[in-house]
Amino acid sequence: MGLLRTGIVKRSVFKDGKKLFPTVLLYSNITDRELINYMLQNSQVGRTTAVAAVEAFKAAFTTFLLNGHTMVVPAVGTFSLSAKCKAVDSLKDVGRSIQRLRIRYTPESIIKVAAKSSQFRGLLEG
Amino acid sequence: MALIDNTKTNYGKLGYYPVKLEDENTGVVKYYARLAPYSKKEKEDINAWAAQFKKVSEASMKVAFEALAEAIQYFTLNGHSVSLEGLGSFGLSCKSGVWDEKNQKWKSAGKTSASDVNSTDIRSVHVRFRTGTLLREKMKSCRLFDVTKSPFGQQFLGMANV
Repeated sequence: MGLLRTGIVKRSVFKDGKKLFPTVLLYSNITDRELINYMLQNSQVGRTTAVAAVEAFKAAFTTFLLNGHTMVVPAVGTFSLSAKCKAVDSLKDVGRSIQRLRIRYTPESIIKVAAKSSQFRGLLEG
Repeated sequence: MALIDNTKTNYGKLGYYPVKLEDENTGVVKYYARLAPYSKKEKEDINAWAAQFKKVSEASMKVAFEALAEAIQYFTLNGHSVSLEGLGSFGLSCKSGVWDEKNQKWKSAGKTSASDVNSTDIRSVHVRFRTGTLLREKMKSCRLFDVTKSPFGQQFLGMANV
């Protein structure tokens, strides 16, 4: 587990005005290409297979998740869909109570444990 | 949210079942929908499907998925966000508070001065997944149907308390 960079963020607090909170600042954004390069450098996987795995990972969401299944992705976590609803008065209007869908993600336990052991460096004005 | 939209591609079919909510004090009855869970696809199912989908051996796909997971873990847990095009991004977020020594528990509180904020106020760090725009659009176009009215939906009648 690496050193996480921290900063300060200002947020509105109910009945308390604006307050300052610590936050985790991200170093950079990693794209598909950088992920694949990392896979090639750190495993025996060839480029074709690495690209296939990334594409299959993405396609699994459309195939399984958007068709009502829960997905357990090895060493990443569990993904499922939930619905945000507004209650309606009549049983026949129940279908229209769904306002939007949401993806619920539960990280694998190894990730949760690793996140708990985070270390921090510095606090910058944010 | 439209139940069926015939003008654009529908990416999935999602079943729901109705749930009754009764206010104990007023007796007012309301209804809302809950998504019907079909099945849980375990890692072996995902692996086998992915291998067939990309015409790769299952053993190779298993190794590749492990490498992909390790890559996502490595970058996310080291403070980077990982964006998968067309899907979304993994990143870190934290929960902060102030430790109440007297009551031995965390309480939500911010600080008024920047010099008072420090990393000991961070009580936990979490890995989150944020859905991307494209996937969100696909989710909006999913078709919804009352699963209790379908031939295979009888198993959900017990969950629907109507």
